[in-house]
Amino acid sequence: MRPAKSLAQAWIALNTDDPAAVSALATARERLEAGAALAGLTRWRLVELRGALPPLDALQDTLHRSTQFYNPYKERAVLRTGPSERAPCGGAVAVLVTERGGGRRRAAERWWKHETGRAVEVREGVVWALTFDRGLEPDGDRARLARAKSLAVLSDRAHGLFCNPHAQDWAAAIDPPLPWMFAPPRRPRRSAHPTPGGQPA
Amino acid sequence: MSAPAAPVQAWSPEELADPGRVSRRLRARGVALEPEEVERLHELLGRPPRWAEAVLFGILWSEHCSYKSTRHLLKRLPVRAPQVLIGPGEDAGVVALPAPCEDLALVLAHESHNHPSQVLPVEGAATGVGGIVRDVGCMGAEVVGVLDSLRFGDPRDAVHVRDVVRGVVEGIAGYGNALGVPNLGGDTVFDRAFDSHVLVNVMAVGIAPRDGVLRSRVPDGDGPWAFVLIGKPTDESGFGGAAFASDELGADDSGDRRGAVQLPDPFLKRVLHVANAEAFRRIRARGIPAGFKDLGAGGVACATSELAAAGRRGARIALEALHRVPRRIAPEVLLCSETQERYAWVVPEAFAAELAALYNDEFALGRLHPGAGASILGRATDDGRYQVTWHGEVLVDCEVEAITHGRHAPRVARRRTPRAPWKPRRIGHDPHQALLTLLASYDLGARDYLFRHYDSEVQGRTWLRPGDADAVVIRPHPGRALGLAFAVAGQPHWCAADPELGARHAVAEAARNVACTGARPWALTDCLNFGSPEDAEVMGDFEATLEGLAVAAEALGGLAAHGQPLPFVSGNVSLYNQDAGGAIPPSPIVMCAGVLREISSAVGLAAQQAGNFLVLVGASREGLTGSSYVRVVRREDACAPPPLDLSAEARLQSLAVAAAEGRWVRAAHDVSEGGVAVALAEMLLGAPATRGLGIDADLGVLEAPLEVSLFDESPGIVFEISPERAPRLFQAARERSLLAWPIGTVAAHDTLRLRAAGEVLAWSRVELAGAAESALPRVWNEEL
Amino acid sequence: MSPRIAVLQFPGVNGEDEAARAIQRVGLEAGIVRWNAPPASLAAYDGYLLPGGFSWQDRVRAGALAAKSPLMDVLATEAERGKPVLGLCNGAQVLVEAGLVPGAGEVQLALAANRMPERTGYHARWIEVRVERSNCLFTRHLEPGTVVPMPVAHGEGRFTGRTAGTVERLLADGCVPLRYAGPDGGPAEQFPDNPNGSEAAAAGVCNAAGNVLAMMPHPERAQDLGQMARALGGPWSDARDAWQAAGGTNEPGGPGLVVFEGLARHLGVGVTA
Repeated sequence: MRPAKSLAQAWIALNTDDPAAVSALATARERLEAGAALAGLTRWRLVELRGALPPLDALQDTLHRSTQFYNPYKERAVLRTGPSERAPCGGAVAVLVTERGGGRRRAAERWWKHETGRAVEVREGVVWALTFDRGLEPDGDRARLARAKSLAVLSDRAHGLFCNPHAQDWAAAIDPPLPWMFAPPRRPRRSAHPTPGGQPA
Repeated sequence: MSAPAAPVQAWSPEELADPGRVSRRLRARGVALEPEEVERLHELLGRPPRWAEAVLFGILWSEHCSYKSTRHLLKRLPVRAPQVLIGPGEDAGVVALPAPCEDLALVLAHESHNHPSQVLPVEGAATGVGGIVRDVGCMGAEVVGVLDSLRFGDPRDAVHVRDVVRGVVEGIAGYGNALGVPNLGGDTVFDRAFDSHVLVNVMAVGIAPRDGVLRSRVPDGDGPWAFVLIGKPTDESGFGGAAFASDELGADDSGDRRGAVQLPDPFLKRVLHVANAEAFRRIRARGIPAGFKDLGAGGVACATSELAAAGRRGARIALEALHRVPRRIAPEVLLCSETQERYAWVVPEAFAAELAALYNDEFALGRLHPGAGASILGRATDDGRYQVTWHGEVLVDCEVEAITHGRHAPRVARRRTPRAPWKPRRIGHDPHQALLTLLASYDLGARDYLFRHYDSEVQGRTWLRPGDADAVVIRPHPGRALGLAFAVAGQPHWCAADPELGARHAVAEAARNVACTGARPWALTDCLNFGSPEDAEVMGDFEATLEGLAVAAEALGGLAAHGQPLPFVSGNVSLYNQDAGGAIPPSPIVMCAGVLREISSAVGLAAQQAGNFLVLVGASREGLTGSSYVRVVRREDACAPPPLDLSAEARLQSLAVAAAEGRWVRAAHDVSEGGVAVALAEMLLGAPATRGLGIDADLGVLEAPLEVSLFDESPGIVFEISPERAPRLFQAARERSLLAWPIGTVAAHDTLRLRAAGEVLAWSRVELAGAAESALPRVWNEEL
Repeated sequence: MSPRIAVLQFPGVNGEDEAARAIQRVGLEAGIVRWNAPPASLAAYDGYLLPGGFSWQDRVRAGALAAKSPLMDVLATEAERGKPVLGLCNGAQVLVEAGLVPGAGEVQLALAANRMPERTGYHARWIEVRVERSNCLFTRHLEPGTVVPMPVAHGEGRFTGRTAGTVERLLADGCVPLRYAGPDGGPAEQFPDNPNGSEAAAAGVCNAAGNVLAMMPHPERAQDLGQMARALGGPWSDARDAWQAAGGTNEPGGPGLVVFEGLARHLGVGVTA
């Protein structure tokens, strides 16, 4: 049994083909100016928990028990409880999109409280992991993050898709930090943009 | 994609010596055949079945498909009437409509999705809606509404009960809203008896050209006929988690539970239905004969074999042509998987390529969902054999007759004595508080919070939506005057106390609700939700329930066709809603469809205008047995339902229809849960707040004790009528030998004022609304 | 021949039939154009309607993928030429995501998740909208302050901008022709009259030229007078009750048709509801 932590991320993906990722990739490649180099696109729901969390096994079990978090019949969840554990989007540029002023999962928090008697805070966002064609790949991390930003942030019909900045926040990283939604990392390593949701929750 | 080596036989000839052991081994692999069915199948085939055959017959002979425990009892229900075009037996029933829609037919279907909704509420309920919509769609109809009848546990009991409530509502909303089919209401009951056995009954209604209804069978004629499968790419839904796939076939080596449940996709269903509408248009315009069937349990195997069998043909299915997900899946699984959002066509071979191209190219399903489309799977034959091959290897080869061969499982039934009526002890609860307690209870509280999750307006046909009237009313054909009304009933407390009388009430109340809007009760559907048929008392209740349903339906059909029963045209049985803790209460759920010749005469329940009279017509107020007052306020056990005089009920409904068709009445509301007091409160609360309407009523005319006049749930209807027209209503009641009491007037003071037995009671609108709206939000906000 | 309106059928929309009916009811022709039709075929139409539903299953975000459709390039060009464009519910989300509203191709707004007390997500009910002063061709025939009942049904209907006051500025510029109304007919202050927390109670936003309107409520589902929700009062309900009591003949049009009548007038067609 691994010891309890106070922060955790659940990276949740569909077991089957993800129609949203398939359609978004096709649209980005065909319709966005910077989209031709995009080779692959994966989508995760990212659920972040902060509070007095149980040991890993119990944490896994609790998340598994309620569809408040994910549905094990159609989704799989990868847990991450320390910054040294890599996020499952290895090597891709990860773009996190959250609803401005939203993202808190109050119902999930209430469920957790009922079920475990403990209070946790829960936030949720969507992560798009972008990979680029070899050869068309921008040179260096800084250029890859810039390319990801131009694909992510909506400004007109030819630019941006994943985040409408009028209602959503975004952040991009190659090694996603833990936490990513609850507080900005102290040293924003390889991050192109301040993380969202930085205000105390 | 190469096929894994499949074991040829499900059992060896030697194993047949111990059919019980074979049955247990099969069950562990997800195939449900009882020991005598193992022997029966062996005998029918003259050899041990192949695996796919065992799966196929396991499904065909399941309770769900074969009604083996109940079929002989279901014969008790009346199913014939002049308006019936297709009765029970197909995926949906079909009834004719009168002018001005005599060129259209109404298609009705009713199913349960109970157990899946208990396990995975969101997906279970959504799949239930998805399945019932296919049952109507495969008759060639446009689906114009869904209803749901929900029996939840007590939300105060456990977070799990609330998870089920929220999940089921989310599932129904998420599927129907995206599909673009309006939610036409239904009913919801909360009771501890359903804490671990939620009931999710779903109904769908559709409209088809009367001469364009499609049948689920290979058409008559030479053909040659081709099978075309359309929709989602087949995966392992329903089988992924079963040992059947992993142990025996070595196909599932990933170790995950992928595919164990059916995953609904309303988006794909919507685009599929848009394409289907174009296919319907073409085959009708060109007179192309066709059969159409939805895929449910048993998947490709059941759909193609039943299409063939119903047309008295054989079939050759080449399964390798099936469009499917790009993973290695055993052919037996592909053949029987329950992947959602699929249909099977059988059309002339000369049209098959065009039909497949319609889905694959014109509507480009593959660009909308990875792998979706159409594939031509095989053809019908005249040799009476149903044969499925996979790259030449035989998976199924049997006589079609074996497939249509029914199953009957005799069960023991033991009738029980119905519970006695409630004996009044000292009453003495504060009646002012009692009404507020009733309105604030989960059972009687306002459903507005729940309805707001559902789109009831999409398609633009909705005329009276949930909450506006006792039944929902839609206009099936824009521009024509005809209206259709739908209502659902089934009181588990009453059925628990007296299954037969409870069932009579279910039919009577569904039909009465329809009649309150002015619609003529036209057809019924039902779902019979019960415990295990192996329990003699459950079967006794089942028999009693059928008797009650039949007797009531025989009495209440006269408004559609004089002297005829109100026909059951579609239905379903859901058994094994039971565990170690016992069975659910007998739970027949009845939907009534009604017809309004002029939709503009439809009557709502809300009070309309100050100065109008309120008139109660129906049974006299004589007791409180079976009432919500006894259960909710007195907190006493279930007792006999109030009596029901079916002859008087038929006359009451005839009065309601005449009053609406003659445009005498301005509002009508059924007296049901909570009695006259709750009915009047609901009429007040239904009116726009800005009109400031109230009610002044004097229940002294009912000549009953205070609580009885307020809360007796004996059948009745409260009508609102102008003073000038009121004599006409009384005369019509007299002509029908019905009792009618002038109980009050609509007032202009925003208050419900009731006088009875020398007391004056008053509730402000704000007070009533606050109570009625208090219950449901607590469930969603975990404020318990 | 009557002017023809194209009803765009992106995959997953589900309000195309009632929208086409409302168009026909005011004397115009309606043609349903599927998502994979040749984009150039759109140019021949005299106006455009984007119906409600769930285009592309709300993948990525409501309206996000349909906004990138090649059809929308043609629509943008035709809109710039002054042809009328009406987006209803999901159609409004597409127009906002495509930068056609409030205009000029740049995305300036979002239709964000509803904000409602004690509930989240999708919400359906009848509400009332009030007409504001603007040159929007769909509403300029109506007196400012006119109140029109119709249903809403959506999960993301809150007009908002990156910077505070964006929607208020649009209102001041005459680009918010429809706002949610409270019981007194004034702008709705709170839920449920404002059903989604929309800034400035905005129910519909148009471009500066007034020919493109994105509205969240569903006028096409209020085209029969008799289908109005019974829980609403006001002059339209009074008219419904009077019509029914008088025998229900000569069926008048419902409140939602006023938006389509604006379109018909603009295209020079006498209204024949």
